[in-house]
Amino acid sequence: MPEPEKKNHSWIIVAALAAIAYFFLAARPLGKEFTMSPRWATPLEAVSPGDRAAKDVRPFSLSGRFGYYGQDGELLLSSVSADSVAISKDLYAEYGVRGTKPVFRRPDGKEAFSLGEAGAPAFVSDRLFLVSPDNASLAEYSLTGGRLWTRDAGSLITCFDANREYSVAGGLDGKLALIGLGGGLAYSFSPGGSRLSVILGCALSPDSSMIAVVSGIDRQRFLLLERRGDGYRVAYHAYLPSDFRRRVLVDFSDDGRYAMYEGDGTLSIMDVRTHETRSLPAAGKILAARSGPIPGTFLVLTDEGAVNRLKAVRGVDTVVADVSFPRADAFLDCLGGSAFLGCGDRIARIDMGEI
Amino acid sequence: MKRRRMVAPMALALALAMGAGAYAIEWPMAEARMESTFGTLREGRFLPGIEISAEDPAVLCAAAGEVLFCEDGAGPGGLPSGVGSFVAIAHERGLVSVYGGLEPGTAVDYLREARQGDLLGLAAAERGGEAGLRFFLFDAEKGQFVNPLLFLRPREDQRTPAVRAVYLRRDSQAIDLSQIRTLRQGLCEVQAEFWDPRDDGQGYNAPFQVRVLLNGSERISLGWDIGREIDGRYRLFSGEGKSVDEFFVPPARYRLGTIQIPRGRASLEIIVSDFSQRSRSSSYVFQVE
Repeated sequence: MPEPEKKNHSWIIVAALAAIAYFFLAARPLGKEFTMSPRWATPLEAVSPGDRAAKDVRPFSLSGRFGYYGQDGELLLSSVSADSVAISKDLYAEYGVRGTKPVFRRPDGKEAFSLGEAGAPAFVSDRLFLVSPDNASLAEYSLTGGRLWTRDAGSLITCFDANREYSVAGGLDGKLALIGLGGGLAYSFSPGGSRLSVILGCALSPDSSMIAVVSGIDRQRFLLLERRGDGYRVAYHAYLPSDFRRRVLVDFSDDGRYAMYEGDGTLSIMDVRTHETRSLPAAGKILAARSGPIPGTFLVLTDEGAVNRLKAVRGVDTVVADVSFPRADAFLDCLGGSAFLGCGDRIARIDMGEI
Repeated sequence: MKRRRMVAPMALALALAMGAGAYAIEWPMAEARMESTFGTLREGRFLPGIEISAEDPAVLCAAAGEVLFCEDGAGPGGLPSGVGSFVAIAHERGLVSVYGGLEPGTAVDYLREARQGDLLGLAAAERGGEAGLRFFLFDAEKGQFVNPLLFLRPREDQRTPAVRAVYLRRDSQAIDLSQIRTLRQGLCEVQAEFWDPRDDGQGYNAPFQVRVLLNGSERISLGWDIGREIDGRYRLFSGEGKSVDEFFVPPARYRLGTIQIPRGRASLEIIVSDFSQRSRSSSYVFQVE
């Protein structure tokens, strides 16, 4: 009787050795995990102005109510206003649309100053601006109420941004104007390239080296301008599939590394060094998009109709957190490692980190 | 008061220049009342459009076009709108109509195409009163605001412009022409106080045209036709135009321009007209030495 064949099991040994080698050679350290930890939620009850003090007081304007809150959740002021409100960490003003001259008060309610002309005030990058009642003129005031400059626009202003050095305004005439600290025109640009010219959104990078613009109708365009000498040149442009007929979100990250702009159901984030762009789904209306508490992250707040949604994004395309909550008026603010989310009748603090 | 028939040379010239053939647009509110005319001084600025009011707050598209921009206060970042919620409609030949002061939340942000008469929103009430609208016409090709009355269907104006005083200014002295009989010859700046009263008699508006004639010959003609930005300043009138500082002397006087007064007997006439061709003239006769 012939002896049974000896089976060759060496392949098992090779496979086992390969697997062991793989575990050691292919191993990569786990990335940090993004964390969101709610700290507190404060209902927006009425609080009269007083002499309360708090560290890092934050302003809010939400659902017809405005005021100040501290990082520990204490409300320092919470008032109802039938008018619009311009508010910064040191000043606030209630104003109507027609013919009112804004009166500015401090957080304790005491009057600081009043402006000598009517218009709609706004604080942008800790600077105080005033748009004229015809929306065709812009003025800057000091934080003590002195007028610094006035500049008439060529048409109605449709969008605006400012940093500490410049301000940029877009108009119904399809022109973009870069304005210096003294109110002089530093640069002007008409993107063109569309059947109808209009500037829908604009933003300045923190160091003024770049301007981002969404412009035109049929077709809509995104442009990134980079400073060259005394002017700017188009460093990147793309035609967009969107057909917005309103102001759209355009912004830079706090470090100026990324540009963001609103698309049709998306938020596009571009690395301004490589021009790599990814589009995140952002259904509904984008209420706010800003640099997150952690470098390299963004927070995006959207109104999806039935719910509001807060997403945290790392880089240009990695969603690390996604939270929805009942729809209401909402705002988003960031300070240090915390995000402050106002929604409806309350404000919440959410600490964000990585472990 | 002698009612003068005024051929609107500026209106015709502008319409022809724009190649528009003077096409008419409809009033954006039914039974609208004029509150402020184009170029009226408001808060130290020339109004670059008109202000109207009506009992019915419905704001209607003045002419067929497409929605260029809609601002309803809920957009991200930036500045608030000084004119409140507004809709801009793009028409033919670069003309853009803007309907400002809408009630927030009523602007038709879902429209793309708009026909004449389509509802664009509701005008906000003026502090509990009637609904008020700020209406602008902008020529995007030329980069200038245009007096909407040049394109709106004409309507009757119930009141006639008024002229209160006319001055000739030389050196630092302004001479009231109603108080003098003789004058030295030379170059003088003509200044005058005039207005077009509102139909309700509650305020004063800019007229449509002012003409100054010396000895029957027209020397100055200003028409409230266009306004545009030059070097960061809004300037009214065609040509070089005039800024507020160049044209207005508080509290109520306008600097119309300079004329050379020759020796002899002189007759100076100022004619102020509104868009309905109602006009008022004042004449002064004096001896020039």
